[in-house]
Amino acid sequence: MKKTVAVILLHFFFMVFIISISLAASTAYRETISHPYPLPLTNSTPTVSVGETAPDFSLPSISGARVTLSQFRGSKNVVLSFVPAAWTPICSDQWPGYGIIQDIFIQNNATLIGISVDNIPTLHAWTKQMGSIWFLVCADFYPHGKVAGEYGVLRPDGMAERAIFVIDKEGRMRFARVYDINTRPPLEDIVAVLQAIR
Amino acid sequence: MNRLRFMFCLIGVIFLLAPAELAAGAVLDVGNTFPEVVLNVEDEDDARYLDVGGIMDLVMGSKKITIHDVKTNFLVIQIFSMYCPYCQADAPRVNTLFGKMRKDPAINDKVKLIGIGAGNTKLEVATFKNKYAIDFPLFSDGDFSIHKKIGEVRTPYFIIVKLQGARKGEVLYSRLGTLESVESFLDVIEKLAVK
Repeated sequence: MKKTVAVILLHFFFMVFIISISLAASTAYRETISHPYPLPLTNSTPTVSVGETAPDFSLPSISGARVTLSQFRGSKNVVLSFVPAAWTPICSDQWPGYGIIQDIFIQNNATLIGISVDNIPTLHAWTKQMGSIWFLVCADFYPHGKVAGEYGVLRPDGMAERAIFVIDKEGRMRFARVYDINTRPPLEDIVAVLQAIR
Repeated sequence: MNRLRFMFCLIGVIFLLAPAELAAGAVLDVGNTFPEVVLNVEDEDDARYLDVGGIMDLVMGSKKITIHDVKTNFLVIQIFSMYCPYCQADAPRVNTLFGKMRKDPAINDKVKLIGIGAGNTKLEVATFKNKYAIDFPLFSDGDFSIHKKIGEVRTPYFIIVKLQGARKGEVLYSRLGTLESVESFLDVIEKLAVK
């Protein structure tokens, strides 16, 4: 009996969790999105703080070129957008939004690097569904999640956190925030810091 | 006795779950009543188009209205998101629709069009509006409160609500997906407007 009640309550909490994550998912990926099991809202501790030098990295991108953070030193501010995984609900409705804000980055002398722990073929297929993607998309796939780990945003399950880092032209961290995995970072956060460091 | 306890627990769980489902709301079908939602008008042109008063009526730069304050017979509501690639692709078609609605005398006086950005902050709505040069009013629903009341629909989603006569607030049209054909959607609107 106790076991039955426990099972019912477990189902109840699971259903409430699913109901509570109102996503306004677009119809774009209706048949292809995987809905992962309930996940902790955040599940790691960022190791990079505002004011510190951002750890350099070099990752393969879907364009075929390697992307190195330090290549932008002295020329552009850099926004890093870590997302948990390709083909999942919020991530699939986050980067398409960034696809229409290139002018904000140009105005603020900044570039955007999207990073996920998925491999290049997966990221290629996924971002093809997003329409016009102008920014750099990098795979932190092998060694798995190495860069996410260095920034302290690799979750114990192997996915990355949903996190935004903004690094100025001198390579200093100016903004570092891990968001609830079920919510999109508001555009205001990125715009405010880019305008402040322009 | 055990069976009784089990039933009691089951009823309890259903009872606990019910408010969450009600809070989320069911997807609006034709014949349902559009829920009470508050829209924040912050633009003079929007206020004029919706006929809810001019800039002098905007208190501290904004005015809270419900759809029933909009002076029109029918209201077309597009649920969109700046982050939705289908909404982005559909934006030029919706602009064309709005232009045709404004030019069609059979529709212009009777039907108005608004958009609600599900989960979109003010800046995100403004970004979408600027990017696609959208002339009809768009409203932010940053906390998903409106989105929850209309059944957490996917985007884009189109709803037409009756605002005059009997059964005010009745949903006359409810559909998921992009416009695909502006003309066929315009036909739907025209048929409603000339009834």
